[in-house]
Amino acid sequence: MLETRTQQAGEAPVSGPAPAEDGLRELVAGQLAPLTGRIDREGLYPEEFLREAGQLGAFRSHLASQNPAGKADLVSAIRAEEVISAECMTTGFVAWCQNACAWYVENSDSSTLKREVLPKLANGEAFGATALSNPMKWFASIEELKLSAERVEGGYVVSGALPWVSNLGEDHYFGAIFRTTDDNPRPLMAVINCADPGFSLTPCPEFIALEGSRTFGCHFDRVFVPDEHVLADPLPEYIQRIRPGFVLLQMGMGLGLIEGCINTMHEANETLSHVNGYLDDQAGELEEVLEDARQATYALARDPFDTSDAFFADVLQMRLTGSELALRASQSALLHTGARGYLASAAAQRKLRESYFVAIVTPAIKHLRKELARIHAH
Amino acid sequence: MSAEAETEYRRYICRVCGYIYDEAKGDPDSGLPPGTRFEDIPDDWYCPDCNVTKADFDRLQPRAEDPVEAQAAQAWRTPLADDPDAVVVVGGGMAGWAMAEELRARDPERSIRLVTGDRGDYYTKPRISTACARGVDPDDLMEESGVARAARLGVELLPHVRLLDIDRERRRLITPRGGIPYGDLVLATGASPIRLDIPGDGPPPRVVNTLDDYRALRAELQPGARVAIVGAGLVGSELADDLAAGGYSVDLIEMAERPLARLAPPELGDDLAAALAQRGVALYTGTSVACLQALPAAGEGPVASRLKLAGGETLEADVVITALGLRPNIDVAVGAGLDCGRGIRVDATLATSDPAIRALGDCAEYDGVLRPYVGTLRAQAEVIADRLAGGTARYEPDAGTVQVKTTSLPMQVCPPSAADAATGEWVLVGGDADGRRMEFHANGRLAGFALSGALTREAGPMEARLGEAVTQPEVRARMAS
Repeated sequence: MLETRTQQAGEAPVSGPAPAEDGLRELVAGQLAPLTGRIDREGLYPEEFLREAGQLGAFRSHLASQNPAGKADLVSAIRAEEVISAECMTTGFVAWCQNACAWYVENSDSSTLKREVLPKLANGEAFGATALSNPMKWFASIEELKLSAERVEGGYVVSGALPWVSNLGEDHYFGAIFRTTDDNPRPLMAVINCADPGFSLTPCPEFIALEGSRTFGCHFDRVFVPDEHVLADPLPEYIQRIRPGFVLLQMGMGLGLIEGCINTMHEANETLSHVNGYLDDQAGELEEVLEDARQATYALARDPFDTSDAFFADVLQMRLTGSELALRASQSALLHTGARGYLASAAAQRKLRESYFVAIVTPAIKHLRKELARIHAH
Repeated sequence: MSAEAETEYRRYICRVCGYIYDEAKGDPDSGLPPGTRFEDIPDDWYCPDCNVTKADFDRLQPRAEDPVEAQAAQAWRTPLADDPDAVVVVGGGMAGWAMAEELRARDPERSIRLVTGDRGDYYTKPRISTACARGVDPDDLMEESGVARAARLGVELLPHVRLLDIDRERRRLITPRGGIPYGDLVLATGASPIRLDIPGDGPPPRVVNTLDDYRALRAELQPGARVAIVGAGLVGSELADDLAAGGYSVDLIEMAERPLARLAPPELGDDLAAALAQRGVALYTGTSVACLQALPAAGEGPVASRLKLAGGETLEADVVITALGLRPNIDVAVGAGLDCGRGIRVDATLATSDPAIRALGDCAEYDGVLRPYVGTLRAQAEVIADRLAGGTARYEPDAGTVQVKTTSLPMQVCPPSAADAATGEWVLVGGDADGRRMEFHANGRLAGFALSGALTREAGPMEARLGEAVTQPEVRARMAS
């Protein structure tokens, strides 16, 4: 026998303990699973589950200042998202929003936000979101920045509109980037609260999935942002610091979804293995590629503060691999379940719709390939 | 404008969400019948998808297709193949490519995949050492693109893929691109320059180890630029010699008393110091860089550096290069539990401690010795290829003669083994500063040699004599002749 230190799928990662994981699995099975269908299509927001998951520590593993180990353990944060996403990716996505918002504050220069907001985000008392889709596309020369800010005494006044920001609510926090119009025009990032005067949410048209993610249009009509809520100035060094973690944390959605698809395939094979063997992408093959993707993701997540372009290219490639595998897995899950998977109540067709979200949410597959092509051309 | 064009319906796009208002279709749900002109839409109308007003709409301008972009995009539409019996070579340097070439020559059928973190373009690395003086364009050093070489050899190239881990139990490479199965794995991961963390706010020093490094260096070197090189070992001495010949002003800083202190006998080190000085290189020996500070840039130019040496001297340079030796890239091998010393330990079949994994070139350690030379990697590639094709070849290390490509004073140095070095001594056998022959005598036998200048052409005959008995009278006789 060869001696290797390769761990089996499902074991705790070597980089640190995952204290919340077992408790979280129980919470997902007991409290989240009964609601998954309603969260997906009826727009039920899993608020109670999120608060309890926060109490269990699901949203603080990656925050060195907020967890008992004092380490930025992204692997455990990703694994917690996987556990949630395997059951309900809407909730997994919301968990990522929460994790990303706290990540911004944790790595910022704002002592005010670290004191007043971060502990509440870390334990699920407050909810947080990220409105970086537009700026990420702006960094990749795909879109223009949609928010602008005027310098005023003690801060900035922000105007503009963003479509479709998720995990928002009356007093939720979120990170946003705007460009200043003062003598020194530059992008800045700040945390906004939805209760800030001049800020309003408008309902979105219906989406085909993730309806329970509380996704709204955001309108800024001269919203005042105090200097204490600016995350970093200048912005570029800060973005370099947070971007690998921001993208790596997204891996929890895809990896969890793939695991959920494999579970669905195994269930279908209990009665249909005699025909399912004719399909591409068997459960065993997907288990192998899922294990590959997990090992690679955790290897990258062990050093999220590498700011080099080469490392970020690896992170983007990883995210791309996750999207491609999610599409393969969900397609195979639906084919494995057949007509029963096509029922409006079936998990397989829901996972198919969820997997397309993994592939289109920023950074989308096309965006990732464009960015990687640009980096590799240098 | 013609009357017809005026009746054409127009389309407008929401800047916020991308909703398109088409005049032909209107927005009947909001009370705008088909045919409603954009300018006739009332101001209290809202975007049906995101609720912004008319003011946030622009006339839709379809984007023309960009052929360059379209070609770049095409490269992404190839999925990874999945042959569990493939020979997978990790590394796209000379060793990786030599491996692929030797194996293909012996086995036309087996699937070979070459995984590399860069583009995989082929170049002969030692040529970089003498390229600045001749002003060689970086693109001319590239002998063949990775894509073309892979096609010619019938090898599948996986460029821009970094190896993160090896799952030996499942025989899979773990990469951001996904898992890559292997039947046999060959590690040709090379070595990376040792980097020094010099205190101060100066720009990080360059290293010159790859074609990309050379490309970046050439892009930064303005004519007549001042270059400071830290480290006068093999690479530092060659670079100093080459850059000085290319008309650059070169400072060379070395901690030891002379260049090539760890490789060559002191006499040849002193000869090289004199030859470099004659070429215009300012040599600072027995010292190190204590601090590296940024100098305010003049206008738009790149930031220059001020170097403070341990001895108190202050130098200024436009480009700072460190050349402090190479360290084998063994992190992944160590992480995967392979037996490693300074390099990945291999036996005479070039197998590592895992028989399914072999290693060669700069990353490999055979018999406790690193041999980061081109001759070595070629010989090793032949042995591995033979073994993978069912043969019984064994690796026999060569004499390990190092070619020092300082054109002001070229050398061939065959250093003694560590054991011999401890018991023997260098003996000057003949020649002068323009060309000397030195021998290393240990336990009454010839255990190494060093040749310089015109005498370097005698390296072959000298290698043949290694191990022969040497006696003092015989040496005296030869010195006399």
